[in-house]
Amino acid sequence: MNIERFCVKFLARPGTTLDDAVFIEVFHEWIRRHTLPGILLDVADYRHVPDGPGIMLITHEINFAMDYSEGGFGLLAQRKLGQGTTQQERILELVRATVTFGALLEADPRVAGQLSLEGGAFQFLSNDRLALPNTADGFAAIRPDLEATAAVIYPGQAVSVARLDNDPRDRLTLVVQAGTVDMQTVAGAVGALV
Amino acid sequence: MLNGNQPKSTWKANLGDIIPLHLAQEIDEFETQMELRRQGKVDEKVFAEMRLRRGAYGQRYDNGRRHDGEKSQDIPFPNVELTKGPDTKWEAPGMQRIKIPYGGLNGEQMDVLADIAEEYSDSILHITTRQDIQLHFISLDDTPDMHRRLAAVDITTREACGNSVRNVTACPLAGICRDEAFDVTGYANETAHYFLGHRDVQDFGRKFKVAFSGCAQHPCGLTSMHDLGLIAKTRVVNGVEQKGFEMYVGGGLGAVPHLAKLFDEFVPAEELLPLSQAIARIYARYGEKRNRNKARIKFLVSKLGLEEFRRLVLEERQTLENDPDWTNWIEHIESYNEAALPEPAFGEPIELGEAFEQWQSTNVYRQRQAGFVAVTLALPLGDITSLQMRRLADITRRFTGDTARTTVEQNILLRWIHEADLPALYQALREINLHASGAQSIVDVTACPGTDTCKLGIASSRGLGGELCERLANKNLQYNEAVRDIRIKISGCFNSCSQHTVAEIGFFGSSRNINGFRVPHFQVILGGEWDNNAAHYGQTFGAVPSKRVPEVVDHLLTLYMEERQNGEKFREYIARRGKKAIKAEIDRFTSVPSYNEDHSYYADWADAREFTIGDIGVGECAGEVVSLTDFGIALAEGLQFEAQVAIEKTTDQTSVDNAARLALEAMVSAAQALIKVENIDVSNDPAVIVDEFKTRFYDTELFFDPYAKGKFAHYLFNAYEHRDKPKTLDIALRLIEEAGLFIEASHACNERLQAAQLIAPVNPFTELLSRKVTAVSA
Ligand code: HEM
Ligand code: SF4
Repeated sequence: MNIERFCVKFLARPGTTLDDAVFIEVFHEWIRRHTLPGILLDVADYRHVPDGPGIMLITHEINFAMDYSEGGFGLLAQRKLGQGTTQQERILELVRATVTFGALLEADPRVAGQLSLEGGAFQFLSNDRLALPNTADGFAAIRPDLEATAAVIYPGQAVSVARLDNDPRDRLTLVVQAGTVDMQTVAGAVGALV
Repeated sequence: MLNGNQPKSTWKANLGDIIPLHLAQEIDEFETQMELRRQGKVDEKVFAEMRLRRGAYGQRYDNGRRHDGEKSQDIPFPNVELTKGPDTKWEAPGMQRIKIPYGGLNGEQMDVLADIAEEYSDSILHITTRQDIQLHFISLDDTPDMHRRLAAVDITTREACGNSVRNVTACPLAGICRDEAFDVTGYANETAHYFLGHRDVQDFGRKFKVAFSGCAQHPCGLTSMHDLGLIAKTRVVNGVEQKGFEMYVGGGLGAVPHLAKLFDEFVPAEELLPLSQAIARIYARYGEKRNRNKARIKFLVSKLGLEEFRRLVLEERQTLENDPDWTNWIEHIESYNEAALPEPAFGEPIELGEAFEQWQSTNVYRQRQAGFVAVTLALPLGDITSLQMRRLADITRRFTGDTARTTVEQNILLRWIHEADLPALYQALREINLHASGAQSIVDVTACPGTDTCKLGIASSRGLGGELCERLANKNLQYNEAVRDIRIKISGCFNSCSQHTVAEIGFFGSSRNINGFRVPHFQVILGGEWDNNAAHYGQTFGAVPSKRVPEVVDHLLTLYMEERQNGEKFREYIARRGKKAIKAEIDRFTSVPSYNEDHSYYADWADAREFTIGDIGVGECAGEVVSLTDFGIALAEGLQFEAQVAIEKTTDQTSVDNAARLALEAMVSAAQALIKVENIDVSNDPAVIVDEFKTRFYDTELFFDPYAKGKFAHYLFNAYEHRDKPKTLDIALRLIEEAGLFIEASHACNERLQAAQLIAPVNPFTELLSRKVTAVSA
């Protein structure tokens, strides 16, 4: 399986008390200071859209969104392009970028204690209907890559990889589930730069 | 397909049999042009126009620079030397405009729009003020596939931008409206398709916008502000009813708004296309090509005069060779009739409570056809997510005969709903969070893209729009009879993309220098008329700091509610109170706390970056000169205001002459203020000022707007040159508008001078000259 466009989403744990406006400030600062790897471009504000992508940090490689779409509030990372010659490398790279983002955000003084992301589970969304459609075949084609990647992300843990039963026109979505794990721990496992 | 051993499938191969051949070829050609551009075999300017004609626009920061609040930084795009237009990096994200003639969509198209928004954009679809759909943050490399997927469901992006016939718009109520002469849907669509790619529309100096309206009294079509506006009309000839159009030409918003002029009282349907074609040919032949600021057809009509323009068009019409495509569609026009589902989809009553009642009171329109209603989905700032769009496609199929329309107020309209289905429809919309009430009301604020994504944006129109929406909705003003129909429209700069000049309350972004700090501002425009196809344009009342706009809106609404007489409309109230009185009310909100007291005023809405460059280390001398300049420009603003007051109540010749004189004085005074940056001893003689302004600011291009170039300077030169010619009311009004823009441009120029000086504390004038800076990106 070889796709470039896909997403991962880590949900927020219940109890988030933050005003989303804080993200605007944080993300602008990250751009100014080049806090994240990659080419950081801009902040997009979609707070007015119900069930929308909230506040986004747009980079050349990835669109990060503090996203409210179906399934709940969380950190969604939409990969547009990037490194990695195998699919597993590419997935791992996106997870690494996302947990770097998540761990940094949780640790920011303006956010700390008010937002906690669940690192022990994530969704994988195919964002290429042509190469990886929302079908049983699509699921079968990507599943081994996700299982292998999950073993790296959650070493020594039992992990399940299941297909989300959604509208066939929506994106193929796989739910990768380990136990309860903090972002920081996942970051450590995947060698993220935090 | 999923097996790595099989040949890789592409959208091109996949959709090859589905896409109409001519559309497929156009997209292939564009892909080839992209490749040639990558190889440096097509000039960047030429490529830019090709790209625009495919609807692929540039987007903010695509010159590879972005101000981060402290300084301007280079964005290290890969292949940074590869461009897709002058100073436009290939790899930078762009905007895709998707043309939706008359706003008509079906479920299948909505499905595909949802898919491409997810895969190539940020999962947001934006409905525009001309019924188009826009996607942002698009990679140019993705566009050919995206265009193919759209073409497969009969959507083309061709000529969505660029100097050609733009999307043809029409009242979203066409066919169901209680007041229309007849359904204009088919006429709009046939006009759009006739001109799409037509050889006669490829050589325009500028864009050409066409709009259809079913009646003269309602605003839905906005025909008065279009290059070509058509209002449905019928007449009886020898006992037979004939369909046709009242035809208007030369309307337009933009920096100086023009109301369209009546070209013909009745153009029979058979003559619609040939006559429009003749107009297009005359425009292509005689319209301005070099100076894009004078290139819209409104300037040609003004220059020639309506009579001469009409004569040329009618003469041209005679020479046209008969084209069967002019009329062969008329006999099938009935095929555009839409119908409802034969039976209600659900029909059972459901108890839904007060929220449902309120929603019904603001979002539901009773159709001409008894038992049916049309429902507006109030999209916040015109945005809808891809998931909502896909669910909405299902709802459209479930409750209607599979049709929906986008509206110029950035919403979506579902038509032909069985009245009995309303509760079930409301429930379905609530499930996807598209059940907001207050459609087309005061809370349904319209905003252009502004600084979010537009390269020309000065202030954050969407940030302000989001803020106002929320505040007004929290006060439930959408249910308040007195104010609910007041429209608020916000543009990020003077270009009027939100159509703010026809709103009761409009704003456009500008910036002011306060004690050496830049502060985002909005010009307040009041008294536009949305009704009667946007028959009146509003007038400016001065700029207020962006962060104080909500206070201004509150104050104006309170005044209006307290003081209105005999149910007068907001516009009538403003006119009765008079410019001076209303301006005094607005002026109460022009001050800002000092930077140290509260620096939130020095950043824009929804943007944490400082609008300014922090603590400034300017030399005393420059500071002094600059403040003199600020002072002088403020004086000019006063004069421009006086000019407006002069003809507010009386329009006799003396008042008109007075107004024209004051408008010119305002421009001269602003020019003089600018000259003071360099020559503090500038003379008071207008002739010397105009001359000196020309050598110091025009010839050097220091005064040039990055986009409009020397346009605003010409307002001064022309006004001065023709100062002794007789003045009509129209001329005086135009001079006042121009003076306002000239003053805006002076502010901007002054800021550029200061900003450049902030970077290097030397004489800003010589410094700028040596670097030929016309704009400091911010
Ligand atoms: C990339 C960002 C944009 C640029 C550079 C741009 C540029 C301009 C300019 C220069 C004008 C004045 C035209 C004239 O009369 O000569 C204008 C007007 C207008 N634009 Fe835009 N625009 C942009 C985005 C948009 C968007 C997103 C919309 C919404 C569909 C829009 C809709 C309009 C409308 C309705 C007008 C009024 C002019 C008329 O109808 O006569 N523009 N734009
Ligand atoms: S009004 Fe100005 S800021 Fe807004 S979209 Fe038009 S050009 Fe851009």
